[in-house]
Amino acid sequence: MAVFALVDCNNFYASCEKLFAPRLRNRPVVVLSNNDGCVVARSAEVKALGIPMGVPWFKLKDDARRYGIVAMSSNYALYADMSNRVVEVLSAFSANIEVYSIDESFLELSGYENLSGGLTGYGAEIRQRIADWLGLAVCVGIAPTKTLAKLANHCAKKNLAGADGVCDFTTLSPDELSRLFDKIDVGEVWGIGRKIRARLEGMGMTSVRQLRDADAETIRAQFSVVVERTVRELRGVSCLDMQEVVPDKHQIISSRSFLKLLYDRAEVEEAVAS
Amino acid sequence: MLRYFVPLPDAPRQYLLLDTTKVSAGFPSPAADYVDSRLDINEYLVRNPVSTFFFPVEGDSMEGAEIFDGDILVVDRSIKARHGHIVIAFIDGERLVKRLYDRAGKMALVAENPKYPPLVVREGNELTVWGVVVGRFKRMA
Repeated sequence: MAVFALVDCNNFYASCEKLFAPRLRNRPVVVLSNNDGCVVARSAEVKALGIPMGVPWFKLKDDARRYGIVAMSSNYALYADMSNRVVEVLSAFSANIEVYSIDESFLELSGYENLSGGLTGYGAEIRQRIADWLGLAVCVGIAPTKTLAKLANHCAKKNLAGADGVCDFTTLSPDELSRLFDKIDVGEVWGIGRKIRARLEGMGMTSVRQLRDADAETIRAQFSVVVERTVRELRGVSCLDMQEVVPDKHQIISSRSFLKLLYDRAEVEEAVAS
Repeated sequence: MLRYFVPLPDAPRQYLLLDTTKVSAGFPSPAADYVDSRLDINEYLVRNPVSTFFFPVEGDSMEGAEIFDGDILVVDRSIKARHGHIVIAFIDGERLVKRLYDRAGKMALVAENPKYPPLVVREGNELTVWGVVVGRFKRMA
């Protein structure tokens, strides 16, 4: 059986800022876009206040005063560094990693089922290692497909299933999964954007369970082979493989040179003129 | 403004010649000098790059441990802090470097300078032991 884990850093940019600044502990923190324009990241405390992503900072001045919200300018060099460290820690846990975004990575864990402690224990170990070594909180979703691993991660984050930031769908019975999928909005599924969600709702499908149990042929006809694949992935049939990780560029060079060796002045003048 | 540095985890190694004969800070040594080995500063100071961070020091509270204003500390989070370690600690919104006292259920952050009394951790204090100081460096000229 294929097994995938999705490891996702909680409130990544805000957590990176909090990591180094003790005065930010337990305070609502937002990270602002370039030139301190809009909110691009929110700490858990800010999310709890109901402040949405993308709000211009000047519109938050009143809230900021009332709740003591601290705004930080974005520091992408720091986030990139911490992100690289997370990937480096993860690479000790799986030989096959796909860095999906700055704060999310897929790990292939096929064949790790028989570890003592099982996959759930392995997920807990990953979470603990990143907390200890990097001071960052992550959630881990584990499942037989990438789409389900994403959903399991969502469940871990929202405390819908699993415990302590780890949700392992491979330990749930089909019944438990169905009941869980009843409760989750179909829009939470990886690849189901706002438009597709609206059309699904028009067809009477609002829960993950309804999409999972929909007729695959109909879905393909109505939407696309991509959405059909999502349905199959929700059923536990792995259709999406790990993407090759492109190694980091160590340097970027923009240089100009001649196509061939040039020997006389006129040729050189001609080449540099254009 | 709090400052911190992150070492490059994949910094290129630069091995420089290391003379294994000690430099005498006392009497001149009669031993012949010869080069025997190579040393990379990163490798020497940073054992686990992925969990290591640098912090500049401000103040004189750790002079007894030979940590001075302007030094840069090498802090490794992968080491579990124990009694007696010099640590970076967050306490009530402050970031400090102190020696950790952790015995018989009592915790304190102890300065290495008689000018500063130990900071005894009490209920209600928010303490996070952030990482263990494993080295320090300074540029002198």
